[in-house]
Amino acid sequence: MLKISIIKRELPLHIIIPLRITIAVIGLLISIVTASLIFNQDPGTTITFLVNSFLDLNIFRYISVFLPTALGLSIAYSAGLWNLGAEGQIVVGAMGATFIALFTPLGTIEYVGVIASLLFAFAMGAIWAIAAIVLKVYFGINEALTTLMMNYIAYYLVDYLVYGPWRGRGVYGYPETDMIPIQCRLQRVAGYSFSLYPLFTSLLLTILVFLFLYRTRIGISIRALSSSFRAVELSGISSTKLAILAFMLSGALAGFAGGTEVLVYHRKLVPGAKIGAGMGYTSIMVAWLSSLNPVAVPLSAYYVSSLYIFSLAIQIGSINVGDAIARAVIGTIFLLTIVSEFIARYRIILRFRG
Amino acid sequence: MIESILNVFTLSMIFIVLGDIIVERSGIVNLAIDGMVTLAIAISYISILRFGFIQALVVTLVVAVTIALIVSFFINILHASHILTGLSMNIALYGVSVTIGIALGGGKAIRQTTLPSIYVVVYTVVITFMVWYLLYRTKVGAIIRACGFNPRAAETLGVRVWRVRTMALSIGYTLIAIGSYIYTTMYRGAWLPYSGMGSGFLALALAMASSWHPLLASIITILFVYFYTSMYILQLAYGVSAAVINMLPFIVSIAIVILIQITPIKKKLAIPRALGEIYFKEERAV
Repeated sequence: MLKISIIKRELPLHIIIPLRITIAVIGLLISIVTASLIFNQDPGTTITFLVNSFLDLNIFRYISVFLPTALGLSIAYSAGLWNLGAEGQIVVGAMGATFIALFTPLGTIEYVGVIASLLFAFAMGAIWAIAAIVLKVYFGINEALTTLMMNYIAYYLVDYLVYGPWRGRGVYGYPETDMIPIQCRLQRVAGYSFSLYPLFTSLLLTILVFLFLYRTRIGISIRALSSSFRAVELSGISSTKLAILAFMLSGALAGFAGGTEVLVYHRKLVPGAKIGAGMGYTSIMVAWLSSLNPVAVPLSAYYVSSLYIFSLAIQIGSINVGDAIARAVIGTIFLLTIVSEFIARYRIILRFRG
Repeated sequence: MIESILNVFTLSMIFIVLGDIIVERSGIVNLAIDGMVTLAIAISYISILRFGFIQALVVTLVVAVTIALIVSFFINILHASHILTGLSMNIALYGVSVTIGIALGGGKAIRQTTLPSIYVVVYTVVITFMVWYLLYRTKVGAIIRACGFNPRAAETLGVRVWRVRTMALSIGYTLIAIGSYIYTTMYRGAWLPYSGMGSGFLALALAMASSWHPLLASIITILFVYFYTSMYILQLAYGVSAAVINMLPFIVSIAIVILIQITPIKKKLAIPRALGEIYFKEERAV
């Protein structure tokens, strides 16, 4: 009788990296094949589209959201904590930035306005995350579900504001606030909808997060938290405080991404679902695509962003379908990533017994 | 009178919430539910355009069980995190549902059936009672709950955790598919891209608000849908914003779970403690 067993193993890094690259390449092949099959296009044109979308500068508009959010999430996931609330933290970050920019005198001062808005966005994201982790560490409530619920609370909170008290005077019935003052806007690169300042900040943050997670005592303890709460406690650091810190940082970085969305892209507060636009959920997979390594996050953010641009490119000429196909392809790539994670962690053994 | 409290939409939501409860009672964080609902709505729409009502239901159920088996493969065989599996499945299923909906349906309206309100009441009571009986009065239900509470102990007592979880997924997804089918054929009667997106997560919140108990779940769902449908009246009469009512189930679900955890009710309404635990038995033989 045939018996199949599954056994744990650890693959060395030099095998995991080619594995990930293979997955990325398979993903690209899938997108080329589906796009050319469904639109009856010759594969040459599709490949041109794909190459163009990898070279398109508009990807930085997506990278500037994915990179900080996924960086933050990789801190929480390294600690073994499930923060699914990036979407909501982006939205409340945007809300915080708008509040400082529109409703306080700080917003009309140059430089100070931008910095204050972004700092408040940081703080709002952190507060939104803390609520969930406090429930987890003190009452033992599953943090994945609470953060998911809080995404919707954030959506509807912003909806309430833009339909009600914050609705702008000059928007003719649209559910939006007024535009934020010019002093508070970050300058875009001419002809594109992204700004260089948040991008450089995010790259700086990448290095900082890497140093924090791999070179400081607290960071290493945060990574140890996922394998054993008790070992961390024995080393003399409160695991409760560490869990709260990890969650707070991840929320703060997502809030920062939301703040830059307002200061650079929207320049006003719009309904919640438009700010987040599902990018918070995609960031979760961006973080996992990079194996939670902060240095690899920019690469996976770049990869996923170019797939986003590709989905916009194949959308032209048809109704709505491009977006749906892109979602199906991106979802399949993520599922393949999970399979590769299995290959990296487990081994299958076949045994024959009489 | 009854229709204002208990309509077809409530019935479809109750089916979805109860399906989610069966899945989560076995210890699986059921995040793929949102994609599942979206897909089941699209499938039942396009199959009703082509076949009769019974055949369409069968097609929807077959698709639902297939998805349940795929989710089970990722969770039980590949030992993937429930949350990552659910999120990736969601993204893929949203895409698939809209693609097939546009390619095969294309915005046509369907014949709608109406369910007499007495049947709605009967079905609600029957399904609620059946799920409660299954979970709390049969051996299968006890095993499902054991897997959600402590899979390691359940395995020691001779339960094959992966089989039980696969079974719970199949039963749960069947109920979810029936709920989505009711939503399409009896409530909505039409389909738009991404219709149903978000109602899966709403069902997740309602299930959590009822602490995963079938009887409480039906009551809470009825109450919420009542508030939801009478939103415009509340808006006119008391000036309550629509956003506040939309927010309500999510706030209430968190509040109720806190309440259960900090008070002695915790002992009565045991919530699945091993929710989201990846169960790995060393040297397992599948």
